[in-house]
Amino acid sequence: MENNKKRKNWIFALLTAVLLLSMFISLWLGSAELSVGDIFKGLFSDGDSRISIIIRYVRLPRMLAALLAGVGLSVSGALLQGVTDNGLASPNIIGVNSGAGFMTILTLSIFPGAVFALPFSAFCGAFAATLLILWTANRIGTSKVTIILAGMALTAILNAGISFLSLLDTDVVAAYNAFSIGGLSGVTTRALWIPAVLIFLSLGAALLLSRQISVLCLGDSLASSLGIRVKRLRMICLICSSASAAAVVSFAGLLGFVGLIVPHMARRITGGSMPKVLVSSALCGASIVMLADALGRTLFAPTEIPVGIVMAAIGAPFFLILLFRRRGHA
Amino acid sequence: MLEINNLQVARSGKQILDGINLRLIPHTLTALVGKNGCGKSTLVSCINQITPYRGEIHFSGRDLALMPPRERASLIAFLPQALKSPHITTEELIAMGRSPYLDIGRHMTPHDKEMVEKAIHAIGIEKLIGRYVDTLSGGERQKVYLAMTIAQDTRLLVLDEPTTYMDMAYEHAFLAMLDTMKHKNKKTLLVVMHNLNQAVRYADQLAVLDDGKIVFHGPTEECLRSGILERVFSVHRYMAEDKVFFAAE
Repeated sequence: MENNKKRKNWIFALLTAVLLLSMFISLWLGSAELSVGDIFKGLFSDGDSRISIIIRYVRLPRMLAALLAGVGLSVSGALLQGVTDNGLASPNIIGVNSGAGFMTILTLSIFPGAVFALPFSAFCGAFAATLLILWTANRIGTSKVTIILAGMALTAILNAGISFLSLLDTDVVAAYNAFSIGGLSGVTTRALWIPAVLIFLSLGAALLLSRQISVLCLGDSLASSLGIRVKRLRMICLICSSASAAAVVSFAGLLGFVGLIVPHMARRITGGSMPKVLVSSALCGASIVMLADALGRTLFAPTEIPVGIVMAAIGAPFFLILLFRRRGHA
Repeated sequence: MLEINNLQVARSGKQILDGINLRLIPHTLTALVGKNGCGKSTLVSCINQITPYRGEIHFSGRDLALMPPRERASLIAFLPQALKSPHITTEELIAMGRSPYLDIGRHMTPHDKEMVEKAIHAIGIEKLIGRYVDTLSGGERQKVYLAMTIAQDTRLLVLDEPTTYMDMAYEHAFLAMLDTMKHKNKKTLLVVMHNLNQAVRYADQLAVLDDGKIVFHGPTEECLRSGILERVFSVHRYMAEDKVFFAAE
């Protein structure tokens, strides 16, 4: 038992080291070549040199955005997979991302200047989508595939809505294209404050409730017999999951696959109890998105590939492998 | 102790349970038997407050439906038939049995850890410690979940077909362990059983459910004398070495 604990501590130390390394790589790589000394100079000196401007106004916000996107979507996915008892659930597959995206585009179409309201409108869209999925699943039957199928149907409807709104307003079309792929270029530190608060509040609440969520993962009847208020806990988890995913959508667009693949990796690395899954998902998710973004920036430099495309290139094969493995189990 | 009064459950216009009255006697093992689909699992899920019902279920005079879930969980432990295989260690699963006693953010106390250790020894699963639940066989998994319900330390244990995946040798040992537990640990047990031979051998009381109704509830000997099991299950009774056996006609 003691050896198991030591092993886990080592794993978490290793994941933290990978996170720090990814943060460094994210700051280091880019179109302008910088040395290690330049990064520290840019971060800690007060001057307005070219290096300081690149680090403080371009690479640091981008690194923080990638970190937040990774944490937010991974935690959202881990929570969704836990409370729906479905390894295929993730914010973009069950319609949460599209709900947030639809509301974001709707807000931009009606109030073009209301950028400050985007996190809130994205949250409303994500939460409404989640409620709709649960309602549909309850009406049809809460089998594992029902939620996925209902989510896919809702995603299709919402995506059609997004396309329709984009067609009505040509100014929104360009913004929508970048938005739908998911990318982090041009993000500012200011735009990250509210999403950061939402993401870390959700993560904090999820960690606080993580022991109860682990019990909920044993099934409704066992959870109820162990004193869990099943419906209330599931609702809180869905709110946290929606808030977290919506916050990411507000600055990174419809970034896919992170919420699907990262919780699976985290479970394999640290085991399936919820406190460990949440922490390791946050660490892995942040590292993966930062590295994917760095890869997108440097692979075909000076042309930049949005992080959403890099994640899709990694995530889609992973998703297929997951489906084949599930088929094998069945 | 547990008292069920005029319990009724209807689903899609069909009466699943009809006027169930059942009163458990403290420190006894009551076997709930009945043919497939007669409503056994529905009855235990009503006790667990999962299935909506009409009527009343009381525990020590208090209505279970009005009791806070954590308080209910400190009185009644429940083990369902279908058990999941999460990718967590056996000790993590058993420790979940202490959930009713832990507030949000509170860690396990030395007493909680002691209860987990006791449960592991009571079921005799020391060899399974450190393994992941999703790597266990069906019978091993069932034992680990049982240890979890023991760690819950409740006065009443409700077990829904707990020996389904166990081999015959361990099934006997397990039922003998339940028999010991009711005296030694002063537990009351309500066990849904599919094996009639095991039920008459280990249960102090039998509750026979037929088509949503309790057709008999009383001491096992009395049930055997009444011949109701033969009628409900369409089986023959045999005697061998002073033991009763049932076999299909």
